[in-house]
Amino acid sequence: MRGGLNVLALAIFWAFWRATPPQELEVWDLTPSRLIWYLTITEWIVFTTGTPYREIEEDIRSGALASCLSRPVSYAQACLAQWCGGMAFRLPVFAVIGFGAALGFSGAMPLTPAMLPVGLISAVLALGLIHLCHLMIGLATTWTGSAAPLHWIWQKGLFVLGGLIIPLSLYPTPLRGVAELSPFAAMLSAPASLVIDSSREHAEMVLTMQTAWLVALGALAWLIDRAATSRFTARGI
Amino acid sequence: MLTGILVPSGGHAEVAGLVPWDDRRMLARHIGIVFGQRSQLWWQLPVRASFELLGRIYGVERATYATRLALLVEGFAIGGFIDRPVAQLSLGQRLRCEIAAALIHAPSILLLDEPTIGLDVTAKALLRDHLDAMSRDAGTTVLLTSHDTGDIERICERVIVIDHGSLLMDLPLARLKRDFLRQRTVTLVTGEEIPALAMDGVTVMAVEPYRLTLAVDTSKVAIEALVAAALQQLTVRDLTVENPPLEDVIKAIYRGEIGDPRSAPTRAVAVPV
Repeated sequence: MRGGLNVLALAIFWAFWRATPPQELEVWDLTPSRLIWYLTITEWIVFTTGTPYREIEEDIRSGALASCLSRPVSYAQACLAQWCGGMAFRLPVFAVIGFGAALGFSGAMPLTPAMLPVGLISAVLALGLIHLCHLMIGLATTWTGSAAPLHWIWQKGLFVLGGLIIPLSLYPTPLRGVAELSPFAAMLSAPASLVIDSSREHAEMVLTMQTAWLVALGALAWLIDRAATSRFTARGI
Repeated sequence: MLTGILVPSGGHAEVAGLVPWDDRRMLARHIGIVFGQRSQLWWQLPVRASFELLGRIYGVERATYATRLALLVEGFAIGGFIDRPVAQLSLGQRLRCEIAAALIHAPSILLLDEPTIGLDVTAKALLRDHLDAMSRDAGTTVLLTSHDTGDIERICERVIVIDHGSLLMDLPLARLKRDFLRQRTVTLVTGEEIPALAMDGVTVMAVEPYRLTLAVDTSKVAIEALVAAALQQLTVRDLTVENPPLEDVIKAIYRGEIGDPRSAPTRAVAVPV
């Protein structure tokens, strides 16, 4: 079903960008092909993710967390490892669906073969950032009782400030500044922007930004994991 | 608390030489845990896959894992459904798999939290037999919490009775039953159609044709004396002496009818390896 939604969204926006006067896009050095490939990449990342925070929420609510804490591995690391397994399956599946549709609509991806591995690395870094956020959102169940509201807010932030539909370069200046400073840009807009600007300089900037946010969010996730574990062990599950 | 999942507000405990809440992850390699009402298996996966995952999590070597798995499959009779998803198993089947999973890494101590809850009589008996055999053959220390005294009677050698966090009793099971409830039930099958026996300390519970059931207060009359009197006065064809069920003993402890509830010394709980 997600694959169907993916193709439907691409079809709608392909029609939209083709109907947009070319001169409106050329000002921003954009074409319908680049825009649809941009959307393909952002949707690829979003659909590959799913809603893994719900597993942590359920573990905490049901008390199954006790079984997880009784193992000789970190619960957070075990979750991330398990999600990597799911991601390893969904990533190529949604790539086939999304890229296949985009190829059908617009033709070849505007990314040089040499940049394809960079694009893949950037996508994986983006997924790492998103999964760290899901880990923190899931662990927030410890205090909030339900992670769904927090996830809803975060997801809207991701879609808007992460540039799900259109590149951040098209945003009005104040909003663009806020978006580019937020970690959301590293999750969606940054990897997708490689199909718009596939220069080496831009790729280095994207990977550096993503790595920096990975370190920052990783540290934050570690702190939240410690706080949540302390709360479990003090109050029980 | 003994698994390290909960940090106590005070006191000290050691399990396998480790303080649980300080060394939780290290302790996890020495203990196996089964929560009767929570599963540690992966619900959608076949049981075998869960065992495989746990073997890798605990770092069990491949050759050792294969040998141990074969022993556990045979010991717990789970070969018939080991390739079935956990979600498709009955409660009794799942619990046997849970215990086998908890033993994949050969822990020296197995902690069981209400392992027979929800099981029917047959499944309970089967599980208890497995646990009893395992603790005797493999020498695994079994620490069991249960509200079912049948579990305790079948599996345990030592009983600790706790009420609202206070230690009421800590004794070998046999001594608990022998010393703390001075009543036995004696059933006589006699040649007399309406048997009768009167003794101080003996209460007639039931009289049926050729059968007499007596409640004996052993603080007033020894069983040997009762048997001697019965043999003198009646034609005894069969004789049964039954201990009181452990449940009655536990009830009496909680009601304060047995011993001095506060005379048991307070001491750190240590589970010997």
